Amino acid sequence: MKIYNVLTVAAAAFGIASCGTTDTEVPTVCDSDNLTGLPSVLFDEIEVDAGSTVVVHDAFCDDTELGEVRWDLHSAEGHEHEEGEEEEFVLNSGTDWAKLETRALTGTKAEEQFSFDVPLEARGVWDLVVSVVDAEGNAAPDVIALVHVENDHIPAFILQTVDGVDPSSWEGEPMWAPGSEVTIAGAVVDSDGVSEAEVLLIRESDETVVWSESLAVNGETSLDFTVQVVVPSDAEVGEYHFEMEATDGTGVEMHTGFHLEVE
Amino acid sequence: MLGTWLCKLMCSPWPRAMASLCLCVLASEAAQGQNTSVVHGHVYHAGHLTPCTSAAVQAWPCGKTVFADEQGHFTVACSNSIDSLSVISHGHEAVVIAVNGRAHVDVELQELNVALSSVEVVSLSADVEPEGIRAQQTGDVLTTLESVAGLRGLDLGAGLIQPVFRGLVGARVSVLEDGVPMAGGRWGADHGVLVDAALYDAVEAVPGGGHVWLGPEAMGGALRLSSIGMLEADGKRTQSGVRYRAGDNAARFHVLHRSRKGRIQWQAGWSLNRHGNLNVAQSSFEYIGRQLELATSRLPNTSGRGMHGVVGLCVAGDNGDLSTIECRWGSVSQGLFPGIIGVPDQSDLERDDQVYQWELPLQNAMRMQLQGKWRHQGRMQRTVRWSLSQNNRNEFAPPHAHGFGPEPEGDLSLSLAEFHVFGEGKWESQRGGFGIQFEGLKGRTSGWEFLLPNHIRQRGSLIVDRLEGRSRIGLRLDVVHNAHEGHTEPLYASDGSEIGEDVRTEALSRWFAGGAVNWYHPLAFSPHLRGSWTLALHSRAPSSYALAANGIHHGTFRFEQGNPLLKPEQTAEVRWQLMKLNKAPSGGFSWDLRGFAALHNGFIHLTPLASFAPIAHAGQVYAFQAKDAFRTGLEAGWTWSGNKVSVQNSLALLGQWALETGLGLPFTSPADMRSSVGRRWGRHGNFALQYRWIAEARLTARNESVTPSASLWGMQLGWKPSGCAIEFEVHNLMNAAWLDHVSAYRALGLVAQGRWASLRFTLDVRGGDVQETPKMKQQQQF
Repeated sequence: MKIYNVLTVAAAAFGIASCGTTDTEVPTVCDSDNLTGLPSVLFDEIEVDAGSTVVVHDAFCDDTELGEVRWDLHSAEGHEHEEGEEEEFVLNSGTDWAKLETRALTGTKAEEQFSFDVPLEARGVWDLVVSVVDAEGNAAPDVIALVHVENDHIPAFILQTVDGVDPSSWEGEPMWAPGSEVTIAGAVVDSDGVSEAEVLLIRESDETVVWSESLAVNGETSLDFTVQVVVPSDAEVGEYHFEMEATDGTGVEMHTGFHLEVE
Repeated sequence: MLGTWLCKLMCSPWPRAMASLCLCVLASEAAQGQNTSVVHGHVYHAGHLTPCTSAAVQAWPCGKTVFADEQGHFTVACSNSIDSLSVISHGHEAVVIAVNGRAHVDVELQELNVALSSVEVVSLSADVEPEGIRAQQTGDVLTTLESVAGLRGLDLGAGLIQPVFRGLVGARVSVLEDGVPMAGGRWGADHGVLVDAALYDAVEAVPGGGHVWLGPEAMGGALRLSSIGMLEADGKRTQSGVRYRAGDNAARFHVLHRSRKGRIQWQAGWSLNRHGNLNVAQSSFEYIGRQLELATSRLPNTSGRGMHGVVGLCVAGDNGDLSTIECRWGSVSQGLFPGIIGVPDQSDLERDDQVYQWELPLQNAMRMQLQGKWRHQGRMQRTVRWSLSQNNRNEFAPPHAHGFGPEPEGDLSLSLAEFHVFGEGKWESQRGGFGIQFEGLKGRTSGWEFLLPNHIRQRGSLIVDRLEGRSRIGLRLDVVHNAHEGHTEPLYASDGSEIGEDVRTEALSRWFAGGAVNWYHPLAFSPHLRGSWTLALHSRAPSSYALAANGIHHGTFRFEQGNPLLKPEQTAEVRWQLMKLNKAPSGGFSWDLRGFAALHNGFIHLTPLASFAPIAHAGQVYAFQAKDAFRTGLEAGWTWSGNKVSVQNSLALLGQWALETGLGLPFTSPADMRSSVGRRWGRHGNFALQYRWIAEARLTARNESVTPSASLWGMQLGWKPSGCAIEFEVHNLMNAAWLDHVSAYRALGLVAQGRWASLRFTLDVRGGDVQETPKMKQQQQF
């Protein structure tokens, strides 16, 4: 038995001794020579305007050799990236807009710029997630910056109360019961005047409109409204979307809303 | 003169007296000599008092031998006096009787008793794996697997199990059903096999690679499921059971019936199970870099149902011949956690009032298998096995595009259909055996989420197995053919216009040669101290997935890239085991140790590249690369059983490294210790308190997260009178929040199940002349 033990230990020792070493340090988003004052992903928030071109400037560092960087810009609706980060109640618009770009890096430090054109339809909060990997394949934890998109181009909806409750105080999605009536009070504004506005309740499973009401507008730049949303008594249990649509005097359209659950 | 002297002598009174005296003495002596030279008597069986016919009776010192007649009577005569008689009869103790002047002697013979110590009969049976470890049947596949130290089971849903053997998973752990390897997307760590342990006679784990009859895929080991065996005699046997598990609201029912009359037995079985959304202890967790909240401590959309069935026929022939045919099927349908396909939204996690309902994303898996066996005893035992099976796996998800271009139509994200055939011919004698195996698989893929193309895989093997002294030496030569089609998709620009072709894979056809050499040697230091060692050299051709993958694997949320230039993995492995058995059959102390060390040349595994996939939701690119690796491990267990109390303990250690980098290999199981203290009461009751400690997983691959340690308490309460059993079991009694490092979804951050409590009732009813089938008989059913 002793010889067998010796052989086993010898094989183990050989195996471990033969192990090479490798770089396991992950790359980082490090301090840049940002003399232009451009925003960085290290900022907690980046304020941008719809219709503008934004350039984000960052430096990436690694102890041996950089590999690649990826910028992933997408709507922040419906999720959080970091524990403790509270998702504010935001009426987002143009959430389909996203941009994904990857770029090879060389050396141990690289300064790169990522630019994006904010569409005129976008309003709300976007996540800019930056991922870096070095030449060995070590992936750094994602660095995330919130991009707040302000928009004066499209009409804006403001919700004051939903069923008597300020929606900014919501924790999680609202739940409405079939057959219930929910009062929603708010306003729709646009400097070019609002020519059309409509609110709808849409079942997400098949995009069926189960309830809708057009707001009476006459070109005002600001219109307060109160609607009684009637949830059909035979409404299917599940996910719904309360949609608010408006068109301004120049024909620019927008839509926004929030998710809710019927049960 | 003389006549006158004689006349005077005869006429005188004194001479007449003397002569008379001499005559008397002579007569007396003559009489005496006539009595001692003849002895007669009877020989009979002690206890029975029946005649012992044909017993040999030898008189001493003259040596004359006579035989007892049918009445057990004998008569022996010697010219000289007979001092003693030696009596001998077959099957009886020899007796020497002193005559002591007796004319009649009756002799009682005792039956001969021979006490034998344990006898070892060494012969070869290719169906018996000497390193096999019988798993404890618990009615649940997952806990059945984990009753073997070093063996883990990934619970992927309703009857979908993926065994992890010494850190190896998927296509490196072979699952064999009566010797036939199971297909079903085995290359995917998150693709489980469809089995229900209750519809098999036994589950056996065979650790390590190089077992010549188990195929080249059994690199980490093999799980052998033994099919339903024949009853000992005419009669019927029905095994059934129900179980409910609180936690994930899982309910199960199974029934297995077999009926034998004469040489024919038919069997049929069916099981049904259903479970609700998986309960977890966490209220929030990080998933692909996103923090998600769980409102009800359940993972939504993880419920499902499964159904399994079997029908078969066995016909026993003369001299141990046997023919069987069996049809098995399984079907599983279950939801998938919303983030497994696509990116989860917080709103996706809010829907949990419908515990048993599931919607997109979801998966269906189906298996249908027809297999048969024919065994003929002769100068050589001949066995022919064959199998045909169809395995389908479909994954459905809300359609979404990963790059530019239109959104897909329809929900079918990935479809994998595999047709598998297997054939084996085997010839065995007492000292050796040889055989051939053929295996063919044809896989068709479709769906809008391309992962790997249509492929085929064929294997032919020649096998020789022989006993040399006490060693068992096996040799297998393999030829493997892998081929897959090319696959292209339209390439789109950012405005959605089609600008060309995206070549996902190119057609490939390759042949691989390989094989295995296995030298097993048992050790017997004493009747209670045994062991063995094994040296094995074996190779394994790369899977179709390793050669041809190129796409997002939703189960791992990675972009996985195959390598068409991969070569077969080659392994040199040494294994050993040592065990001490109880000296007293009813209790005592026993322990067992098992260890291994393996050097791998070109170990194929997914390695992160320094690049990201150029499409959304894909993340970093992981490519199949071949790197040399070293693996070693130890499993130890000890048991002490007293009159009423028993203590069991087991420990599994594993280390596996990529030699080039010194990093751990993916899915390296952390140290796992299990302890149990049990007490019996009465003849049927038992209670056990269990504890499991899983160490912190620090031996990780690149970018693999460290998994914290976990302490899990449990208990078991059982009542097992003859023919039935009631068991109550609680797992994770403290509802500890934990992550399973070896889970297929660990890379995604998916959390493990929390506390569950299970109540199980099983019944085993026999009728007719059926006796309990001994375990050895069950082994022979392979």
